[in-house]
Amino acid sequence: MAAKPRRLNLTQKYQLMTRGLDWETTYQSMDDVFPYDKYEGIKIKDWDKWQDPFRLTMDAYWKYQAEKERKLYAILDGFAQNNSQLNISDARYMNAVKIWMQGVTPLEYAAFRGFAMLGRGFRGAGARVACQFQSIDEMRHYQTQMHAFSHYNKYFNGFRQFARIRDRAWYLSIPKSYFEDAVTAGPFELITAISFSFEYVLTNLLFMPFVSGAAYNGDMATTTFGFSAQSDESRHMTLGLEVIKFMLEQDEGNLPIVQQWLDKWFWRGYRLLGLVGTMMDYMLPKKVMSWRQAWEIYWEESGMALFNDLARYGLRPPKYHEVATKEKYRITHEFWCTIYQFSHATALYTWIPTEEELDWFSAEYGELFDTVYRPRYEYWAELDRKGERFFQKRLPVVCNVCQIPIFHTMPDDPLMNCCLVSEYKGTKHQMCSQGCKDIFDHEPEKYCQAYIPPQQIYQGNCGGATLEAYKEWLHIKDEETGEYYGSEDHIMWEGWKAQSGKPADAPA
Amino acid sequence: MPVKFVGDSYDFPCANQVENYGGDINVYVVWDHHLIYCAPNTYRLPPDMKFRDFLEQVFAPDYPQHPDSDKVDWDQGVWQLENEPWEPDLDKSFAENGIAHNSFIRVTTPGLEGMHGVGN
Ligand SMILES: [Fe+2]
Ligand SMILES: [Fe+2]
Repeated sequence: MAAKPRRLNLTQKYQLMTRGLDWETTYQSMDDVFPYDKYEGIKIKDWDKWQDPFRLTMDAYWKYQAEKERKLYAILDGFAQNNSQLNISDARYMNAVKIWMQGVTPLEYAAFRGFAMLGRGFRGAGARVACQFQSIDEMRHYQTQMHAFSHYNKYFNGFRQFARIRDRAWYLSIPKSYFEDAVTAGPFELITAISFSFEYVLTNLLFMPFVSGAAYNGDMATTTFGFSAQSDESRHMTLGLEVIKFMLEQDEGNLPIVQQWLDKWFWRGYRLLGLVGTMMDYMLPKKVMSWRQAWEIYWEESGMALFNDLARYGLRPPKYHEVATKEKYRITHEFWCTIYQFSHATALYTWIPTEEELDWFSAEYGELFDTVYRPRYEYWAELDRKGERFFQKRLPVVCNVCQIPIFHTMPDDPLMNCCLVSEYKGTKHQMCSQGCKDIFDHEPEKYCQAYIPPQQIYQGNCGGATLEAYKEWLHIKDEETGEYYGSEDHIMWEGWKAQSGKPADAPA
Repeated sequence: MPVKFVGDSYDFPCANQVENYGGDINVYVVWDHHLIYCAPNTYRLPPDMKFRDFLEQVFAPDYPQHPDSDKVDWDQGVWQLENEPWEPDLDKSFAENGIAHNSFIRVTTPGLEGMHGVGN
């Protein structure tokens, strides 16, 4: 009788199909084959010490992912067939999805490219394999989000040319530049920026509230891709933690390099999340959690606990986290005021919050909201009633690092814009904060090249120096911009509600 | 600490260097405590423009929906250049006032400190 073919257990299979496929090169030097994993100064003595955070082989990976895809697309089909866009809380909610599609979905694609680079760049096979899986995950996230949102594109404005405005629109240079900064760094900085600083430390402030916000606002398409991505995300987070520990255990000279990256990418990530926090506070008609509360739970408690654990490696919490905590009462309001007055140059609608929403803000944000932002909204609402909807026509100064208009105020004075200056090669550069200025001053050679939208517009590189010429260059039409009330989305929504007999504009 | 790079050199011009403006300069100006206008403004201007002409004909009209904008007297302004105290001569040009490309100017106007007692 022939012997039964021998079955491998999971560990053996994993060894054979990952590290077992790797070898020390002899015709070419390893440094020539892997030319990018030393120049950042990170010293790795022994790649074999890399602990694979998840033991996944390609065959198992295909099987899990295919299963998830089947379920996801069955639900998306049902969603479309049942006209489930009618079940969202309010058409204002759709602007949260537009921001996601325009700003975040393209980051998934950028992450796919970044991790493909890492999947080739590290000389350790364990790290390469983990990055290759993540690269495919990110491509899947990009595709599933696009497919989930494509149903909304049939009805709502703002989705139709997300790729072009991702490249051109001033407000989308915020997420775009964040990722381009990371992928133009070396491989260790890239993985620290994305896998650790973003996915491990800050993702809870992004993904969880967005997905639960979607569920709470009746958006089953978004909720479903969110859940479908969740098991991928937990793998990504584990990779982020492993890479930090690995670098710090390999050589003590790595500590100052890693600390500087954590300082930088905490601040860049925090600035980027200001946009997401604003979306959660203002664009979810049914509120899940305020930015202030999310910051307290996910940063002040969980984030600080993590850095307490990491203290044994010599790491300290990132610079300026106290500033971020001071700003928790104002950042989303300052951001919404900015989008509100510039929304004529976005593919988004904005509005003044309802009375109930203003009361929710008062309860969540207290005195600062009541003394500063509430009267501001009341003033704008008054202008609106007079038919003088408030828009800002002049281009703002934009931070040379985070690329956000300099609406941020001084850490100890929420009534005064903060605008700091660094000079490099005889040219002055403006930054929104000490956090962004430190990043600039550390690598001015890099950031002096930043493509800052208002500067490029005035240099004549964006269709012309007027707002109208700029909008034409963006291919943004008037009917998809500006005030929500009276917009095409609003009118369509009212029509649907009238047909279904449900009250229009039912507030939260 | 300089940037780390692969290859022999890493040397690129600043994307916002004055050479890209055909003789003009960029100037950044904020009227503090008028925060319904959320951020400092950016202007492309000829350096021989008189500062007063800029303030009266270009800058003030950028605050059309603020009740303070009709009442402002720039001669009463308290000025900063690059966040340092500064006394411009309003009847001289940008260049004569030492305002170079990418200068950041702030002005407060005592008595006109925005709305609601909080600089709105
Ligand atoms: Fe992803
Ligand atoms: Fe910044």
